[in-house]
Amino acid sequence: MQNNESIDKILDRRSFQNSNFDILNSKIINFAKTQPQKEFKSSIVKVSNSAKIILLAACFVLGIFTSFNLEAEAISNDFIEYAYVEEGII
Amino acid sequence: MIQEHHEDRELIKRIQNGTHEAFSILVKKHSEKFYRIAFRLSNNKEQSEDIIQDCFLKLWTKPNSFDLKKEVSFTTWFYRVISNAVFDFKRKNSRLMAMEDNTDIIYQGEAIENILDEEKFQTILWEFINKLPEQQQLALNLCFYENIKNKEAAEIMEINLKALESLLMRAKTNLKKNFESLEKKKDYHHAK
Repeated sequence: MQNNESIDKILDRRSFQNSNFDILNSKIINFAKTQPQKEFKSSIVKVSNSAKIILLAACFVLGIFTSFNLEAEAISNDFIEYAYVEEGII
Repeated sequence: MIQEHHEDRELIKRIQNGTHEAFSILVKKHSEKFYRIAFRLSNNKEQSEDIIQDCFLKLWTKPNSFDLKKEVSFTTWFYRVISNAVFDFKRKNSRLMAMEDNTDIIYQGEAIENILDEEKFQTILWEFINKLPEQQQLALNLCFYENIKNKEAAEIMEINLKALESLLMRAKTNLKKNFESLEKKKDYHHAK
């Protein structure tokens, strides 16, 4: 065991067991025929960053508008209740 | 090499579009070289065949696992897939595969290079290679047995060239130490 050369000689003697590739390949290929592909190219639409910002701004505006409407409705309900119960106007 | 790289990418594109014929071409073209590395890492024909089959089927069922946007070649990427699969298999089955160190019993005193009983020799050699850290085993098998250039082997292993060369050197030094310690044991037994 003098140097790496003898290690190389030893490694050279390592045995190898080959496969029958005709059988192995047809096994793989035929088995794949029975397996459906789980994913094709992504069908999810990619959204650019500017579109995301616009979408976010739209949601924000819609949110404010909805909350304003709800508040207005609440005020109007309060007024009706006041008019009904307290003053007997309506 | 570059042409092969383009051919493979073209085949993968077709596989991603569901063309079975392209898958069949790819399997026939590459199964042998991937079997070789799987066998060198596992030393078991049946295991290697199962791993090759499993990895190719995963490629068929999930073809987008190979990212065409990346510049890495199919073979580089698939060598990585195969070696990871072998090491995973070995780790999961480490208890079943745990072998006693039989080298003392097997080795009866001849110089290692001259052991004529092939079966003894192969068992000792495999046990020593299998004891090496995974990265050293992979480097040794890619560069020594597959004759893959160091640059490509480094790419497969996702390390730099110097790290690969150092792994190769350490693998050979470790093997040398193991054989030397075996020979020392022989001398000790002879002296007794």
